Amino acid sequence: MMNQPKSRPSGDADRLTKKLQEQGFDDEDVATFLPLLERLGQWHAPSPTSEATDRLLARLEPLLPGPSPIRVALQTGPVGFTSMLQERFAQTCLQLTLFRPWFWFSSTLIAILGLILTAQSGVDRSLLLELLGPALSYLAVAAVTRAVPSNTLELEFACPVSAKQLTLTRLLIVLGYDVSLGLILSLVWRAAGVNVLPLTLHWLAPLLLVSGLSLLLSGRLGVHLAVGAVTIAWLLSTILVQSSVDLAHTAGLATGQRAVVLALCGIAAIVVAIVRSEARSRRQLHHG
Amino acid sequence: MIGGNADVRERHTVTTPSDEQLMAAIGGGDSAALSLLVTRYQGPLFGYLYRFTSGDRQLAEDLVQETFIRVLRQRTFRAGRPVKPWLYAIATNAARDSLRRAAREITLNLEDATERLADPEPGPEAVMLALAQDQAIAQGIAQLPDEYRATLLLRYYHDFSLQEIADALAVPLGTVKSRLSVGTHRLRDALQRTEAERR
Repeated sequence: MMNQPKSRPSGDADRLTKKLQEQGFDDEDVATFLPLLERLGQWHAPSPTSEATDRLLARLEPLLPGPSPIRVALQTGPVGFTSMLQERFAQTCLQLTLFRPWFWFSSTLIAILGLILTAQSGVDRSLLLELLGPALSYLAVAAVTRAVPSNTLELEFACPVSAKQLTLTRLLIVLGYDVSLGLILSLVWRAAGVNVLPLTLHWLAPLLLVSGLSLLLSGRLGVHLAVGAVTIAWLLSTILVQSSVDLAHTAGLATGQRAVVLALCGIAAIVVAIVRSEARSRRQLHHG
Repeated sequence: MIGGNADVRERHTVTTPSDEQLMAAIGGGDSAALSLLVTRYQGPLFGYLYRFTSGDRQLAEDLVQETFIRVLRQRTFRAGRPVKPWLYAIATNAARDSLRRAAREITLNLEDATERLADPEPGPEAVMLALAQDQAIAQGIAQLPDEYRATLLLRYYHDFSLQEIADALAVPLGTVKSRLSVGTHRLRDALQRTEAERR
């Protein structure tokens, strides 16, 4: 039995002696007060009746706090594939409501800017799109890791939804939105008689690569530093490649193929970032 | 054998959750945990409050109820701290509040003793003697100020360690020792006075 105190003093003289000594009583005091303590044991307290226990429990039951909604959700959980899909859809809708208007407007503005600039004659459209892509990446990564700068990672960890699920859901939203913008641009270019596929690749490749690498590095460097470093590295390498025709040829890849390789690298980085999202978020939580 | 001991320990952990585990479960609305905590502590708390109120059975029952109500309503328990001293701290505060509200001197309650007089075993004379002894001790304890009474009761009737008393009464360890020393001397003097008056 644990924590079940005795209802009367110990009759054991040794134990009482030790108690008194522990309290700082000397031998003379112990001899004086030991009979007193033994005498205290003569006063017995009655035990509560079973009726009193029942009355007490009946009085206390209504005061019990109700189980928290999170605990209930965790215990019930989704059952079956359809319920799981419904839950994921509900999560996506919930995440959609969490994005601030600045994300939607800024992304659209960058796309419109790209459209205007590429419409100019005598402009290297591929280069222009490769330079604009990372701007969207910054917004995408900032939106996906929104809990880090606002110091709400603890709240996200307290949710029944895991960090992986949150990262994946948000990535689907932001990249889905960015790709949609790219497709709209493609439709405009197509109407203008431009070859759409290479241009779309030049738009998506930096977007995916910079987003993936930024997400991957954000756990170690922090969101802003990671996005900044990757973006600068991307811009420098793009300018370097464009200015050195020999280098591009040395790589042995046409610009379209290069874009495909970069896009695939970006997708791979995103996958790794999602897999490691839990650990990454925890690192950010400790550093934050 | 090690594995066997581990199994026994595991079974013990599963069958008898700690006070802290019970409090966590109660926080989640677990009525079985509440029932277990009440079963574990109603008796000891009742004994403590019965003696704190110098044998007022009805008041002690009310105070036990008040203690558990405060446990559920105030939710001041912090995870990682022991439950027992915290529970007795609430009980002590409830008893002090009640006595202060009533602004009454503690009077001896003879109800339980007269109940025992009606009991033919072990005989009226022995019961009368026991009653007199109960009264003498109760009266001696009743004459102590609240803080000394609480300290002595927790130490001598409920086997609290010095640190547990310090936690329960929110006082430094030195104060506990001082109260035990002064309280024990005062109790002896009070008992001697009571016996002298009886003679």
